[in-house]
Amino acid sequence: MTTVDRFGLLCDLQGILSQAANELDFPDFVVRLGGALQKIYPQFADSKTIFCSLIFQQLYQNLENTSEEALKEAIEYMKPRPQRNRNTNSSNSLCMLALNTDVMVYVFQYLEAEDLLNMQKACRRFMQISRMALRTLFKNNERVKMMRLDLATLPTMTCIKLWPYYFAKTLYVENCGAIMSVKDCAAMLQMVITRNLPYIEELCYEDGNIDFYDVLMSCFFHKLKILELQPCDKHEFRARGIDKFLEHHSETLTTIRVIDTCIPLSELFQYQNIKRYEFIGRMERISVPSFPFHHVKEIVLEDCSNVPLPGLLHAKLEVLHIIQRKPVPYFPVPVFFTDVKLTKLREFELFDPYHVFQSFFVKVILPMITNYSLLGQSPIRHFACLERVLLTLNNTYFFVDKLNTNNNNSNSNDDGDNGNDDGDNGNNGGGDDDDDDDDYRDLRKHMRDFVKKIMTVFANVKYLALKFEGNSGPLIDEFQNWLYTNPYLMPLLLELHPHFDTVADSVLFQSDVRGLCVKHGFLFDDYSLNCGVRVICPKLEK
Amino acid sequence: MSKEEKAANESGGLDEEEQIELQLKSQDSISFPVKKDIAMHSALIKTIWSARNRIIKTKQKIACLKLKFNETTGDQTETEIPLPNVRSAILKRVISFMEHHHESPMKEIEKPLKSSNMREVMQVFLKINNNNNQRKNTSTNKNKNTKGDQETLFELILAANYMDIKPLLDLTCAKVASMLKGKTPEQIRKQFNIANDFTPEEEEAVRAENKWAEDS
Repeated sequence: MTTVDRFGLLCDLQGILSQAANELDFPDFVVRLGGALQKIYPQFADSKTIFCSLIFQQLYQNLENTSEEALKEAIEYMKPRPQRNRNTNSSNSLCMLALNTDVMVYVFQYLEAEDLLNMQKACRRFMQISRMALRTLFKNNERVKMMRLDLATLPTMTCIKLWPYYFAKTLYVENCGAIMSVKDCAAMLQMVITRNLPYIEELCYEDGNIDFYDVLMSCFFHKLKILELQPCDKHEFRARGIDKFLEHHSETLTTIRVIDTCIPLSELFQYQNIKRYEFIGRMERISVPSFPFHHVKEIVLEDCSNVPLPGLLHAKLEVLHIIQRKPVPYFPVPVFFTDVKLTKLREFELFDPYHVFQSFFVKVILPMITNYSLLGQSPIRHFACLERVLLTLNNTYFFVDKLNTNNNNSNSNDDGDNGNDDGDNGNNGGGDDDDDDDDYRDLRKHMRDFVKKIMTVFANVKYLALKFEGNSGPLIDEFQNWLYTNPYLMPLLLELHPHFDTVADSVLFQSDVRGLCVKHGFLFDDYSLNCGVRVICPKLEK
Repeated sequence: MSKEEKAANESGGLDEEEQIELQLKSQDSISFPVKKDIAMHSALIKTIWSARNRIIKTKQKIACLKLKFNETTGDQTETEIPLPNVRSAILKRVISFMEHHHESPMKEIEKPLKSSNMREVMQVFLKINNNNNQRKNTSTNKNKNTKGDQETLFELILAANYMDIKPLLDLTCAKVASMLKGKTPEQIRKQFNIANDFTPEEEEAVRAENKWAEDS
């Protein structure tokens, strides 16, 4: 018994099903009948996908209870629709052949990319197969010696990443915007950027042997903004023409990103137009060049080592990002850090869970914040330009800082909070536990002072992101208390990570706050309310 | 050793094995005699034959043990290879190709197809096709023949795939590819009678995705 017969018996539709002459017609018939029933019974039209996936079940259930009139109506609805071409169905051997995917992909391997792209438009099946063949064609095909990309009609594409085309020798790029990243192109020797390419903002290459001399001949790089230098040493730097490339394009280049690269820094820092330097990963230890770094405005240090940080820190520095995700055995932080003045600093980020930059934070940043009264200067003078701060904190800083500032305790405690802490001391008769309690109270007080001062210092900051690492419970409490009681000093956009569960509602109702971003916090969507606060909740974890 | 003895020795062993004639039995139960060494171009037949040989040898060993020397090989059924997925008309062409390929092995066809080797592809294909089917040039039969040729071609591909004859699969696939090459989707649909199952929205989406290629 065929499916058609079985279905007909189930639904008592022998007459109707006579239209479906054979098994090949049957799926088409069912789909069309489903479509007709969907029109008659709109309650099934909730979801097309669900309808399609459950079509057979629904049909079966509904046909059993469907009146003859309704079925007739369904059939009437079907009639005006064009019948499926029986010739197409029965005698189209190419379609039958296409059912054998392996064979069809094999056929398509004889076609060139242009033909395969054409085949995509013939029918759905051909689209699937031609895409499989396209992937086979381009990936790991030793016959692919050249790649040509023309992205003129994809204006939304901002970044191109090339898959590993191990055998490609030349890359042509046309009409590419923004970022181009060439990765794992081991055989790539030449990169030709055509004149149709209006500009590129960033060029990254990795594990490629691209000869920059050829690139120099093109006019396109006159608008290149960022050059990313993937691992290379001093020899490669010259042999591959990177030095000449830099020299040639230094007027348009604004950023150099150096990744695991051992290049003489004097070579990198001699171009006055390049304002931003990003050092990522391992750098060879080199002596600090006696070079004026004043043209450098932005520094990013990411998991890097042996960068002449003291030399780079100067009064004209505007952006400083220090992100150290892993410990390094030694990072030179000389004592003259305390002399550093970052008066023009506009953006500051410190993420340092392993305290590699602890001494930097303690000797440079914290004194500017906590000991401003000692210096007799307003913190605003230090951080007048500071607009954006991303700070990762934990209690450890305070243990260190407490020791550091113990000697100046009387000076730094200028807010009159001492009375609360002194009250309990008289009831304790000394001993280790009492000492511990005192220490803890001192620490909490110190934290409270810090929170107050840091928030006062950051009062002009438009964007403040606070992240807490490790055991930061007491510190978070202090921040939370401060936010409850001093909403008027709230930055325009406050980003809190994580654990701020109760602060959200108090913050949200403050009219001064224009934005709040709680990452991995406990803020719910309905907190957005109507108070004009822009709430950004990228990912909420409950 | 006399000449007769030498000739007798030469005709035995491997030569004797090579002179075996296999009977390839089609879907419609028509048998075609093919020399073993020609039939071995099909990996399927080769596999069947070697598996069968192992069984025969095992049988012989059992027979020797049982001292039944009369039960030896040589039955007609032992050389018969059933090919239930191939029609006789197609099998005839497949055999024709194997004979042709045995005499003058086909060069490998370059992928993707270039216009330079298209002629060669066509020539070989026409040769095997014409051995079995003389083209009729009358205009009335032209469309019918084209359709018939296509069906034969697709069946040949499936047969080559089933019988695992790589040169034939290469040749026939290249032939189909040459029919697709350089044609617009509409021409392809028309030539192969393919229904356009894209909705207008899907068609537009596919067109938009590939617009960059069209404009270049």
